[in-house]
Amino acid sequence: MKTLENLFDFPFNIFDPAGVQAGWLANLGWVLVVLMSVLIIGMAVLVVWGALRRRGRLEEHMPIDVDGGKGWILWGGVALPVTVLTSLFVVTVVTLNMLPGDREEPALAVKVTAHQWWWEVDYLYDDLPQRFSTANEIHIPVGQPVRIELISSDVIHSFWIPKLHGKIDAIPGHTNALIVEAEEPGVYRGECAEYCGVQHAHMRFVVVAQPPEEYQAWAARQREPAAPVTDPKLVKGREAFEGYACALCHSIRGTKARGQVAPDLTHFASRMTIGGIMPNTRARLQAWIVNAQALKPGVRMPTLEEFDGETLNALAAYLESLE
Amino acid sequence: MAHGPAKGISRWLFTTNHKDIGTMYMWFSFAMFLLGGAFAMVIRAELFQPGMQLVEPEFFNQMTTMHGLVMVFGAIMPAFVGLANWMIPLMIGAPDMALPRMNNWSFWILPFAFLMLASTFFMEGGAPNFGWTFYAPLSTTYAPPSVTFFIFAVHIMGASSIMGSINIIATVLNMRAPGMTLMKMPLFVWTWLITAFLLVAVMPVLAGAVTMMLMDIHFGTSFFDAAGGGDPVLFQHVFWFFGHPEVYIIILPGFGVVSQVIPAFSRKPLFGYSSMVYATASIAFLSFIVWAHHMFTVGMPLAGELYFMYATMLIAVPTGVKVFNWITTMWRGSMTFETPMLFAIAFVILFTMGGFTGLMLGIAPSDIQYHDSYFVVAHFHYTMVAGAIFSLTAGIYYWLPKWTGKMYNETLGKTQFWIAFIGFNLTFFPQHFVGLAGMQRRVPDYALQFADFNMLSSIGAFMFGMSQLMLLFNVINTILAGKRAEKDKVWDGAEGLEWTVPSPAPYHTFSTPPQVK
Repeated sequence: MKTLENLFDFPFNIFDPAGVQAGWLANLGWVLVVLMSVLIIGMAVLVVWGALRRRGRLEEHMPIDVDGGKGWILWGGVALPVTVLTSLFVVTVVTLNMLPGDREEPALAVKVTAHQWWWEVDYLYDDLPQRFSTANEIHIPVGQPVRIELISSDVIHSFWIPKLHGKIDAIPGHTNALIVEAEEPGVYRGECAEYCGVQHAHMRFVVVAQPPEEYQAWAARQREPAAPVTDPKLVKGREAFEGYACALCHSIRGTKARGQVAPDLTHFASRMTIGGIMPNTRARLQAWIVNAQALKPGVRMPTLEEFDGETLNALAAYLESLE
Repeated sequence: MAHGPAKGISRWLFTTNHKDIGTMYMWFSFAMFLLGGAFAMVIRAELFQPGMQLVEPEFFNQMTTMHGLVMVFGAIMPAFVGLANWMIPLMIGAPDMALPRMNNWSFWILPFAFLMLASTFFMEGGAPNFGWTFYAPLSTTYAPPSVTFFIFAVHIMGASSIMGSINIIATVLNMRAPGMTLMKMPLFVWTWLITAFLLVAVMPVLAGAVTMMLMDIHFGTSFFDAAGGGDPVLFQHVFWFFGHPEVYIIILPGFGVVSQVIPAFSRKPLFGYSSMVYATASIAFLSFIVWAHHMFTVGMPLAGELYFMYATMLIAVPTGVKVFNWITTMWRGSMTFETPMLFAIAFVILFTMGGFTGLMLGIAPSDIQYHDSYFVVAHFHYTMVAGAIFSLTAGIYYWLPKWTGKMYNETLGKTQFWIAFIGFNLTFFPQHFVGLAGMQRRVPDYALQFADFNMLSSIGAFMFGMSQLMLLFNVINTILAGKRAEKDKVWDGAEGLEWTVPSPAPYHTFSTPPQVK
């Protein structure tokens, strides 16, 4: 199980790409960083040098050179920018051209709906029974292009997996798309990159890039409805879920819980995080159920203080059984 | 003939004197600068360490929003209008501004706009919390109720700016002394003339944007509401059609100040005067056709990306001309480094740096990685703080002896420069690195790996804040206890009509227009 500390360590370094697109962007980034550093240092040296080539002091002026330095205008003001800008333009156009990656039709399409402040993920298989939903966690097969379709249900958000690709906004009324292709298996951090309100900083998700067969196994498990429970404690938990406020917002396929406005919890126990911000552990789960507002202030999940300890235990145990 | 100022408070309330109004603009903007600076200190204190320590995320978001709004509309813009009020009539040999009563009005509505904006802190739901760019629908459907007060405040600020710029245009075009042809005007006047045209062109666009927000919020329209057939992207187009020229509105008068200061302390005329004028005009023109480079992540067609990218890159050419003109002006000049010159040289270096990082952000495929990260924060603070604030500070030190007739304390000025310079770079230079590594802007909390750089940033910010208090002290000290300036022209290399009048400049100057050769 991931702890809070290494949850923060899910890598998201732009310059250590794990995908085809991010690779191109990182190459462009290095070219830019090196070029700009050279130019900035060059200019700074020039200004300081120009300033220090002074003639005389306030009291004793030496003849000044009113027309000196015209060559600088020609070289620095015209020739240099034109050369640099033209070559930058070429590098950029090449990058833009390579960016979509593999031209073949992506094998997998995932619809991501951004909500304040979580991510709904729907796997769009052509065959309807193959489809399933999850939240704040996206699994993709390594080495295959995946098409991400983005919409938003409220304000503008931006979908960003720094190690796989640049940002693209999720805008109400628009559908944006992005093709990502992971090259290395791993768990990467994803974030909302457009300021979207009070919990913008904690609107995170996790991307799990797995070998295709592992991905298929995961997808097969996600498609299943929740397994029926028989243990009396788990039954009590399920009944609490269905009977209290939970089911108004959340759904668990295979039960009476059909809420549509909050994350689908059918396979909650298989996920790494709670609310995208905390490791999925029993203690944190119970704290979250009772007082999500204390952990992620402003989150749409209300405080639920009506449970007695026994019910809360049963509820948490039931949720933890949803592998 | 000439009479002095009225007695008591009525001097300030009813004045139509450009110097009094300029003074009020400067003091007001400095008060706003301290307020916006206090917000920045809250932000940096919270970001001193990762995790949530001092403030609630909701309040933090109000801080970032109000910091941006107050600094842009309350500190930088009115400060430059104050400089314009003081200096333009003196520089072109006019007795006053062309429209003195409107001048009074355009100043006096400003404090009310900012009172209204600041009062939102005490309202239910708190102050605006949607970022200074107030993207819809976060600023409409999802905004706190105080957004209406914010909208009216923006309207009033806009009206003030528009009146101020009409006044400047009318003054420059009609009130120049005989012989002062357009191409003889000091560059500060030129940059302000061009800035005033930019303001008249784009402030109504901002007013339109906030009016559409008002309609969406209260009158059931759907300009920016996708559910009603509107489009949130429309907001961004309208906002940035205002917003991009706005950044040049903020920086062009700064270019003007630096173009006065550098020749004065190099004891050489400004190199390439006419190319400076044309470069300024080109930058202003280009600023109208590049707005969507702020929007590369909204999902733009490739042709749009290429166009806005290339148009953006073009701005580097006139800007390069300006920077090289400043360097060439200094080249083998007879230079001394008093406080205004130090700020001007720092301006050239640091603004150039902000320009290059801007170029990186203007490149569409690299922008999609750095967009809305701390790299952007670093970039625009290099242009706003090292650009606008440093050039303003240079201008204040440069003209303070003319305004007060007294010399400021040079040692304190230089000390302030070095603390401001080091503090500024300590604050914003590390932000390039955390931004490139993926730290986002507008977050009260961040990943552990950014802790060290953020701590440096916060320490630098406190230093920079302190250096501004030194500026305040130096100015007050000059007014109260400064040594009398020995000559009317305190800087032996300075040129221009403003140095032909006594120091302190009398209440009325150029009642008889001077003859310019």
